[in-house]
Amino acid sequence: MKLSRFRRITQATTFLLFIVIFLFTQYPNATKFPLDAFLRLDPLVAVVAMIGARALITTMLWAGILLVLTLVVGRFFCGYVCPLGTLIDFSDFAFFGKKHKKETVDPKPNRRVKYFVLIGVVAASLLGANFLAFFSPLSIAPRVFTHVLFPPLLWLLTGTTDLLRPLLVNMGFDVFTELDFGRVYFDTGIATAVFFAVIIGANYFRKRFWCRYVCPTGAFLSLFSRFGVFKRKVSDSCIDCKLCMSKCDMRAVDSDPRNTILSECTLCGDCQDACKKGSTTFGMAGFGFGKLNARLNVGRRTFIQSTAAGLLLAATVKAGIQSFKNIQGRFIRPPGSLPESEFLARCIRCGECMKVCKTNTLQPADLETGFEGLWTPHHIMRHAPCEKECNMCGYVCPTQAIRALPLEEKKFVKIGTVVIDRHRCIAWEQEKLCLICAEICPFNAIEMRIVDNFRGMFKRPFVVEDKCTGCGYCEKACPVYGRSAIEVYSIGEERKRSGSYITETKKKLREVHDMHESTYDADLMGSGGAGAPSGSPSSVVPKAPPTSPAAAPARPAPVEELPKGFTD
Amino acid sequence: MISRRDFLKTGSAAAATAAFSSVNVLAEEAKKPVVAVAKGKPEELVKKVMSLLGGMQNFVKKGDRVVLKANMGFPNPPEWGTTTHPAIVRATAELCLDAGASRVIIIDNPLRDGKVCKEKSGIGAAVENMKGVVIALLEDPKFYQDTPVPGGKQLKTTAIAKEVLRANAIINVPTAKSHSATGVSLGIKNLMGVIWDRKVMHEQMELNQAIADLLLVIKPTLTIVDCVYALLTNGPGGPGTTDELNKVVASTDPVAADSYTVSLARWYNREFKGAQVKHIKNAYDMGLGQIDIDKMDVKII
Repeated sequence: MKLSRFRRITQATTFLLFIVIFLFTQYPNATKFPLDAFLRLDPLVAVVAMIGARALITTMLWAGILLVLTLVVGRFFCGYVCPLGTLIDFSDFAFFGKKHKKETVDPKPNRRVKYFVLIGVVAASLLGANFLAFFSPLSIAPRVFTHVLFPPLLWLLTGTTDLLRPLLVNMGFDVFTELDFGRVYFDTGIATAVFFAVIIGANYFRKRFWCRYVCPTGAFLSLFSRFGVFKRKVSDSCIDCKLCMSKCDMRAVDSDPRNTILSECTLCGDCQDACKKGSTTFGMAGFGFGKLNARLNVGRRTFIQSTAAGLLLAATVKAGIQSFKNIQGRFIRPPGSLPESEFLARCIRCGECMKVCKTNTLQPADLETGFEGLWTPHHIMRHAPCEKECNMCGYVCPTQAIRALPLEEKKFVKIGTVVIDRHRCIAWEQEKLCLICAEICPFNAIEMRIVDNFRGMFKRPFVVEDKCTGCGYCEKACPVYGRSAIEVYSIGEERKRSGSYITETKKKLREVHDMHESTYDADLMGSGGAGAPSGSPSSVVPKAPPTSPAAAPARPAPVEELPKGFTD
Repeated sequence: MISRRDFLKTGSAAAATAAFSSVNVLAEEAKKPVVAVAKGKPEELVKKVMSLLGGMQNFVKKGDRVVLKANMGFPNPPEWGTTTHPAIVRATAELCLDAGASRVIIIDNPLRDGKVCKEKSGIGAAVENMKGVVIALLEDPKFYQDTPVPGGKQLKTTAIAKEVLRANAIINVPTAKSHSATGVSLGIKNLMGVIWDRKVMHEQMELNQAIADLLLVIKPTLTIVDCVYALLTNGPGGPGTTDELNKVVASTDPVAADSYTVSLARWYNREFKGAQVKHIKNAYDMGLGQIDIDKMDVKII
C-alpha cells in the first residue's frame, strides 16, 4: 500500500474514533472507557497545565506515549491522528479544492512563528495562565464539535423525527412515540465558530496554514520528531524536478529536494505520489539526526522576545479583576472544580464537560469573568440544573480541572447556596400555594414554614443553607416569569484541591429528614395556612385576603415614638 | 333582592328535592363505587386487586392503546415511596398486555431529569424487554396538545400529552405519598404528570381547584394507588417516614380511590379523612366521584 493511502485510511479511522468517542461522551458512562483518552494525548497540554498548576497531573502522563512515539516514528500525529488537522484537510478539500491561491515561495522564516507561540504559551503558564484554548488542536477540535457542530446535528435529527413522527407512529413504528434526540444550547457558540472559520479560511493562502505557522503542539512535537527512525529517503535517480516540493502541504522538502526538513515532515507520503521517477520512498533510516535536522532558527533575541510577550500577556490577563473576584457572585463552577486559580491554569476549554453534561447546565462563559474565563464551564441554572445523580463532568476532564469524584462524593459538593428573593417569590408576596422549590429540591434544603407576617398567615419557603448544595433545581423550576425568585449564589462554595467532601456534619444533616412533621397544623390539607377549625369545610380559608384589611388580624397601630429628649 | 319569580323557582326546586330525596338515596345506593384493596407481595398485588374488579379485560379491550401514568418524577429508589413501585408498574403492564392491549405506554413528565429518573426509580429496568411496552418521559412541549377544560373553575385550558388524548384506556398508577403543597399526592394529583405547564397552576391559579379541574378532561379508566411504601412525611421528594403498607387500592372512581387511600395511613402522624384534603374535596364537590367511605363498596382481599 502506498504511504499516502495508508495515511488517509489512518486519518479517517482516528477521526471516526474521535467522533465515536465524542458521541459516546454522555451520561451514563456504561462502558467505563476513559472518554477523555483522546484529549489527553497532547503533550503540550500536559506541560502547560502542570507548570501552570504547579502540580503533577497523573492523568496527563498518558500524553507521554505520544512523545515516545514521535521520538521513534516522527511527527506522524499531525498527519495521521490530529482531529483538527483532519478537519482542516477535509474543509480544504471541500471549500477550496483547486481554488487555492497560487503558492509562491514559502518564506521559511515564517515557520518560526509556531515556535514563538510555543515559547509564549509555556512562558505564560509560568504565571498560571493557560492560553491553549486558542492553540491546542485537542482543545479546539472538541470545542468546535461541542459548540458548533453538535447542536445543529441534534436540531436536525430532532426536527426530522418531529416531522416524521405522526406518519411513522401511524405506520406502526411505536418507538417514535417517545423517540427524541433532544436539543442542546450553548452560549458563545458563535465565538468558537468564528475562531474555527478563521483557521479554515487561512487555508486559502497556504495549505495547512495553521499547522505550518501557528500550532504550538506541532512545534512541540517537531522538537522530538527530528530524531525519528522512520524517514523520507530520496535515491540518486532524483532529477531535481522539485514536484515533491510543490506537493508537500507542510513544505518540508528543502530547496535541495533530496533533503527533508524532519521537524516539519508529517510523513504524509504526498511527495512519494508526486515523484515521477519513483526516487522518493519512506522507510527505516536509522536513529539519529537527518541532514537538515536542527534548523530551529529561534535565536536568543526572539526567544527572549517570545518569553516576554507570553509573560506580559499572561500578566495582563491575570491583572483583570473579574477573573478572581466573581463580582456578581453568580458564577458557579461545576462540582469538584479546583480552586479558581488552579482551575484556570488547568482548564484547556475543550468543552468536554459541557458535551457530557446531562442537563446542559454547563455553559461556556463569555467575558463575564474577564478574558481569562472565556469558554470555561459554568452553570446557568435558570436554563438547567445540576443533576444530583450525575458526576460525568469530572470524569471527562482531561486535565482534571474538575476532579473525577465518585457519585457519592459528588453529592456532597456544595457549589453554592440559593437565596430567595422574597419580593419576587409568589408564596411570600402573593400567598400563592406554591412550593415548587421545596418539592423539587433533591436535598430537602427548602422548608415550608407557616409565617404570620403583615400580609397574613401563610406557608412560605425558607432555605436550609447547610443542606443546600446549590444544584439549582429550584432556580430552574421556579414558576416566576423571567428571573427566578430563588437563585444560586457562590456563597459557601467548596473547592477542594484534594480530599473528601463528605463530612460527618453533612452526613448527619442529611439524615434528619422529618422536619416537615409538624407542617400540618391545619385540619385541611392543602390550605396553605394554619389554624382552621376542624369539621365544617366552609370555614377553611384562615387567611384574610390581602384586599380586605378589615378581616386581617387586628394589630395595634404603630405608635410614633418621639426621639429621646422630646415631649409633646 | 329576591324577585318573586326567583322565590318561586327556588321554592319549587326545594319542594322537588324534598319529594324525590328518598329516591335519590336509593339511586346512590345502587351506584356505590367499588373500591378494591389488596394486601400482599408487590408482585402479586395488582393481580389480586384486579380480581376484585372483575379482571383487567373489563377495562382494556383487545387492540387498545393503554396509557399507564406512573409516577417517575424522582430518581429515588422504590423504598422511598416517592415513585411508583416498579413491581406494580410491571404487573399492571403485564395484565394490560394479557387483556390484549396493543401498546402500553408508561408516561410521565418528570420533575427531575427523565433519563436519570427512569434508571434510578427501577421502572426502566422493570419493564425492559417487555414487548409492546414503552416508557415515554415527555420532556418537551411538542408531545403535548392544548386542550380546553370545559367547566374548569380555575383551569380553562391546558396542554395534555398527545398519547393520553389518543389512548383507549388511561390507567393511573400513582404512588401514595405526602405532598408539601397539597397534603397528599395520590391519583388526582398524579394527573399533573400528563400535562405540560404545571407552573401556571401554582402561579396563577388556586392549585387545589386547578388539580380537581384536571379530572374534567383527563378521565382515568382505572386508578391503582400503589401503597407498598406510603411516604407519610416530607413528600413529594422524600426521604421521609415511610410505612410499608404492602397494599394497593383500585377503583374506577378516582375520588373514591384517593379518599380511601387517605384513610389508610397516618399522614404526618395524624388521622385524616379524604374530605380533609382540599383538592380531593374539590373534585367531590364538582361531582367527579365519591368521597365518603360509607358510600363506597369497599372490597378487601
